[in-house]
Amino acid sequence: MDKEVRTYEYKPSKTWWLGNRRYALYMVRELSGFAVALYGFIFLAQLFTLTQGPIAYESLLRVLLSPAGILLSAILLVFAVFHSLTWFDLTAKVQPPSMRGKPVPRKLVVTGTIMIWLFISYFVAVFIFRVG
Amino acid sequence: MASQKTIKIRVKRYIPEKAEEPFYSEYDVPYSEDMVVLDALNYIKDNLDGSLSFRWSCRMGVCGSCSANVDGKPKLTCSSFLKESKGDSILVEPLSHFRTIKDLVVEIDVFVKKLKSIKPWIIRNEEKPIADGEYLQTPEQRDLIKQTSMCINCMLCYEACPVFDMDNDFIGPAAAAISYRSVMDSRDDGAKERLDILTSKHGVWDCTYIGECSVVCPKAVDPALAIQKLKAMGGISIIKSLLPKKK
Amino acid sequence: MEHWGCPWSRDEDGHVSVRAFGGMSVKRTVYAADKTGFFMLHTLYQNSLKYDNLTFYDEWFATSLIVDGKRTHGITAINIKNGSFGALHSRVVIIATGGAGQVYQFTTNAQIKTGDGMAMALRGGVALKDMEFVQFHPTALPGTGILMTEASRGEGGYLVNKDGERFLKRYLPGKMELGPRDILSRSIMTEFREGRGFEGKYGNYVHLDLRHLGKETIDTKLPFVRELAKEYVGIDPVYEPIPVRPAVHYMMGGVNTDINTQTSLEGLYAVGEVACVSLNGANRLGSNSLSECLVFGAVAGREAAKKAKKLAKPSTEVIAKSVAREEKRVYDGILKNETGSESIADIRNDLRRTMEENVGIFREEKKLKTAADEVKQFRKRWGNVRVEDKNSVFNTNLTAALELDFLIDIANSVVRSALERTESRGSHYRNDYPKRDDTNFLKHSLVFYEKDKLRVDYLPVTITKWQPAERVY
Repeated sequence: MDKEVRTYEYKPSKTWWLGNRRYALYMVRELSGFAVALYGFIFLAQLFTLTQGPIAYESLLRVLLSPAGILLSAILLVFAVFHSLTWFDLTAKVQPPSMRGKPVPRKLVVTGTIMIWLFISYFVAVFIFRVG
Repeated sequence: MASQKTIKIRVKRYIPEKAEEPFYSEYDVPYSEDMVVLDALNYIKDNLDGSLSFRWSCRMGVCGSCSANVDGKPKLTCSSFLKESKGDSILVEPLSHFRTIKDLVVEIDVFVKKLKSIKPWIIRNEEKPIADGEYLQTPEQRDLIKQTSMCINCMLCYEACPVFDMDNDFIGPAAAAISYRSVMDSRDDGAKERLDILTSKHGVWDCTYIGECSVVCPKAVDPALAIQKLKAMGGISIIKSLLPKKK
Repeated sequence: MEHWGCPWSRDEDGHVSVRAFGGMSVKRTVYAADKTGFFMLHTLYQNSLKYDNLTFYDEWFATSLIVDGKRTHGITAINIKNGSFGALHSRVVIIATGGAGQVYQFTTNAQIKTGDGMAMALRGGVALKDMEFVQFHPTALPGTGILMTEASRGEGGYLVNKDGERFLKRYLPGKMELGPRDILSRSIMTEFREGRGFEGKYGNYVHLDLRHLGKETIDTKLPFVRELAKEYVGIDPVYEPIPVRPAVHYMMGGVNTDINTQTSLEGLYAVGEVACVSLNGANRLGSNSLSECLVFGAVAGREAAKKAKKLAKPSTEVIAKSVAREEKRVYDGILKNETGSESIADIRNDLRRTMEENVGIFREEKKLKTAADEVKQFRKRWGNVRVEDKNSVFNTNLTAALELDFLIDIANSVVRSALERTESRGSHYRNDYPKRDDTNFLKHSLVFYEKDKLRVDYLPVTITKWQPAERVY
């Protein structure tokens, strides 16, 4: 009574990510990881050229401050911010801090994290531009 | 008598004795405001084509039998109202991430195996005799398992998951969510054992947090979040096991 | 069940909560939100996966019991997936196939509740007991028949008629909405008869009003009720009352068993809604069915295991004969019948309609006789039924025909028993015999299958602690 039945198997979809808006946004989020990595790489390049002396550093800076360079930075910034926001959103859900026994509502946590982030960014910016 | 409004139902069929490939059949079904796709399928089976095969039982969204793709979206046919569809034709197809047996009926053994592998029962270090009464659990502790205990095993989440599509061995949303429910049950002592299973190959690390599973879940179980929480727990558990043990 | 992980609702101190349900003088209903059955089912299934010595024959359709007068040898079944036919050899068989609400047009029951186990037992020579006692649950959604759980009344919901009054004050002022189901259903039908029901697409209905309970209580204690009402009738019970009407919900009657779930056939046990220990008498109280499953399920398991150790192996001869006979009946007789002209759905719909109209909440001789005649016609028509799908793989057309076959037997049992009981008792109410008659009818009805006919007989009621008294609420 265990006769085999010919079942039909579909091949895995290669274009599933075109299926809906959420999938598309997911792909953007994943690709934004490259942006963050690329940004990190540029930062490391800056550090490296610092060790090579003022001429090397200046020439890198000229590249970075060219119109193409600024455009690249702007694009990377957008992706990096998007990446960070999705991360804050996730951590808010996964490890919500609790206050007086009840978990803090997600919107509050996300807003709070963004506020702290902007706060720290402000002080870093002040520090750089005052001292730099 | 006013003429009866009808709607076209296009169904992806598969009859292994008749053809190697699936094919489409189209039917005209009388339409009324409160009809669901399941009602249309039953009308077809009763009046137009007795060979149309599909699973269903409770017709109220609690047994998880009637999963299908309606207009390309994973839905329970008993909870999918005809009036939700735009246009005058509705497409009904079987779940494509599972092997089709016939028409809308798919092979679900793969899920039953996963369910068994996560040990969905209470694991205790020490059993309390029944005569001594129940394990105490406060309403707050009970609330921790509320969401993930709602899973009806409909497998729509597996249909929504691209990872499962590419790798059938992935533990998947429902099994992970049910295991999370076990971990969070204050009466269960099996957290370490469960996390070992969940952090092993084909476990939660395969999930890339696409999140579509939680979107299609008809019971708002939010398996995506359960998996991310398990990742956090798993990560902490692994780090703890690497630290030197306190004497 | 609690030790097995069932997520019962809890009190503040950590103990399992209890609430009031209809007809009870003491709060004793243990619950898991408003989906107790759902949680019990999943707890049981998930725990069953622990045991490697359990084999699940998922989606095998049982077609008959294999019996040889004195004992059972197993069942014949179709493996629905590949369409093959054969037998499961067994020393003992426990029937737990549930009720037969699908024999009525308007029911809370799922599609699979077609009384298969009852009919198989009947054909195997076991009597069905008290089949006329069919429970109509007072609060189901019009149209779909989706159940609005008694918990909604247990938490304090009101039943209100067209004039805005809690009409139950005229029928049972003592218990009101927490009265027993049969009295409530009759009261609602009377309201309809006397013109105080609302009119809707699917007939009359009354209102189940939960608004005064407040959003928090509804979301904590009755979340599923809210979900179902919103989805299927577009009503949010926090702000609007829910339309409800009685629907067939439970069969008090079933396979005749003793208190150990044993039937008259050795090795055959029956438990749950399919059985009639007569735990529930002529009207079942809410939440007793789920508890019955647990208590008697355990009894059946233990008794069957004990018996299996004592019985001889099932006879391969008897089984082979049964398989041959059944295979001929099912395949040659039903599936391959090329000259069949009757539609399965038509017979089934006609059957369900006649049961609803003639064997409902208020019964009388003329209507019951009509139903009896019509059931005879359905049996004739079924003999000429057409199964369109001739394929082997997952043929649900064939299983639908077989289920209809069982339904006709069930309907026949209900109608015949109802005709013979010329009194009113519990859920069986006769307009022509409205009083309870303990002198003549303090006994259980039994229905036997003899040479393609049904014979009705009686069994005295076992009275132990509680003496029969008048029902006052």
